[in-house]
Amino acid sequence: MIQVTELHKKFKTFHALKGITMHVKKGEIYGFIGKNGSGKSTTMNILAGLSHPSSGKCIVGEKDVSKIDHPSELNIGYLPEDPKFYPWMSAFEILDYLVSAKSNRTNKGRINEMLSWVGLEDAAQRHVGGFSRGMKQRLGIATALIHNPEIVILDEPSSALDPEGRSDVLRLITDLKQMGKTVVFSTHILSDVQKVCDKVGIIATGRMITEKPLSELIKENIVPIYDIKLKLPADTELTEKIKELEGITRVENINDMLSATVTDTDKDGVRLMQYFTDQKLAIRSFELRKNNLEDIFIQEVNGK
Amino acid sequence: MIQDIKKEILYGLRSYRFLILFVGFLFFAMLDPVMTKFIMPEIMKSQVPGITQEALGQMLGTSQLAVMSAYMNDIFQIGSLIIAFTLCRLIAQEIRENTLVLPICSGKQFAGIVLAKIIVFGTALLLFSLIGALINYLYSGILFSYDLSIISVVRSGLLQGVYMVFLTTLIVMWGVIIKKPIATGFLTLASAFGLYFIGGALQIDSYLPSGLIKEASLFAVIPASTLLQTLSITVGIILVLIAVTLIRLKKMEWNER
Repeated sequence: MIQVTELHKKFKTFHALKGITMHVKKGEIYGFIGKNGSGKSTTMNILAGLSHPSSGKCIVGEKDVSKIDHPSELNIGYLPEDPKFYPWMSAFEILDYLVSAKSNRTNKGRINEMLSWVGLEDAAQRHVGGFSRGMKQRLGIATALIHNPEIVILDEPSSALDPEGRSDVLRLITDLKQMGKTVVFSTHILSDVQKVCDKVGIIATGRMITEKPLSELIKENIVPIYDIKLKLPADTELTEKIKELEGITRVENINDMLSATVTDTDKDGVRLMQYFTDQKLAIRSFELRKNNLEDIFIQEVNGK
Repeated sequence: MIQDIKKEILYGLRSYRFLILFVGFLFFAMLDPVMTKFIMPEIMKSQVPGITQEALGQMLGTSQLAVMSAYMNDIFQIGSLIIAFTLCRLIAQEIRENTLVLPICSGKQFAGIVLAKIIVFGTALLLFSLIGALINYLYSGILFSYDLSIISVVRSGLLQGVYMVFLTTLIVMWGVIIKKPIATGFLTLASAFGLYFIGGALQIDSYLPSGLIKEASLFAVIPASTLLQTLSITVGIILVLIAVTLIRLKKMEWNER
């Protein structure tokens, strides 16, 4: 659905994008993550046809972004980072105005459907100037979806919102996934990506550092450590005995939590479990330590 | 396009732009005759004790033609100032604040956006010019005497209105180029007054939009033979300004921070 190859963007003397390459498949929810100023919004602007690439190829749907005359030729839905509306218009009037771009008649049914989906049906006739940031963001998502596009690009849709607003936006993104839409959304809130995304692209200083399915990225970054909590606190003797087991390279006992570093997470995990069963030691918890996306992001950004 | 026009009408009404502009015209239309008839003579009498009524009449120009010509000049000088700074946000602010991003992404065409602004505010100014001239005609007629023909007044009001359409187009073009509302206002005024003075100095008014203002302030029974030429050139310049605006919009990068 989206193919970006060696994308560069220069602003006078500033080189914002230094060869971004990314691929988004149909129906995928793609999380585009990076620190502030890493080039996320610049990339999103190019994907939306609002900015011209300095070099490189950017295919959105089947259109080459550098060959379009008007952003609407891409037939995408786009929500900018800070969506700006006419404060003197009501939510209904704004959607009506935007609907008219592709249809001469007012489509009340579609407008009401969108307002209800984003939870703004009660505020439909209120002027947008009095809306909260969260309401504006939800109205922004409605405007992006008003023409029912296949591809939706959301630039930091949840970043400036309170927890409730963020949860609303994530619920809408999950709905988009169920509708079969292809969604690219940028953020620096990694827990949001972990909740809804299928694939992740990490960008830093204008370069794509890594791009992988989220599950693969997390699997690759699993730390081979088992954290074990026994019913009775482990003594030094037990710790030493575990250390002597095959495949165990290191054992730590911190605050009654045993942390065993293994060579093979599957075989050594079974071996450890077998040992505790043989010794008739009651286990409270037995967990393979996982890095969350935040740890992976820091590793990737600092490592490369 | 109809929805774009509807949106601009809503903007004009809800942001009180129409009201501000109309009051501007109304203010001068009503004030100028009153000033000439009552206030200015009193000021002159206090400044020059013993001045005769005849001398006052010669100095202040107490005829309907003199009053209405003064009104036309006031609208050009001070009215242009009011118009430029009332409408300087018309497109510059939209570009600067990124309110055009969502409409553009939704498929709104640049031509529709620009033409709607020029049609709505140009028409409003044309109507206000006509209404202003008629009110000024009525007031000056009541206070002095009805010396001018209503046809010449209507023609002058319409000529001033066409000039205002040119001014609106100028505001939109500078707004798109500069993207800063106040700078747009100043550049519009600089262009308008610059053309007026160049036209006067080189005596080429009939080739410039400012020729419309000069012709309008004459309230001639028979219009100048060059009027059609001035009108055609003005319309031509309006079309060129619209073309420049659209080319600039097409090349613009949006959603910049």
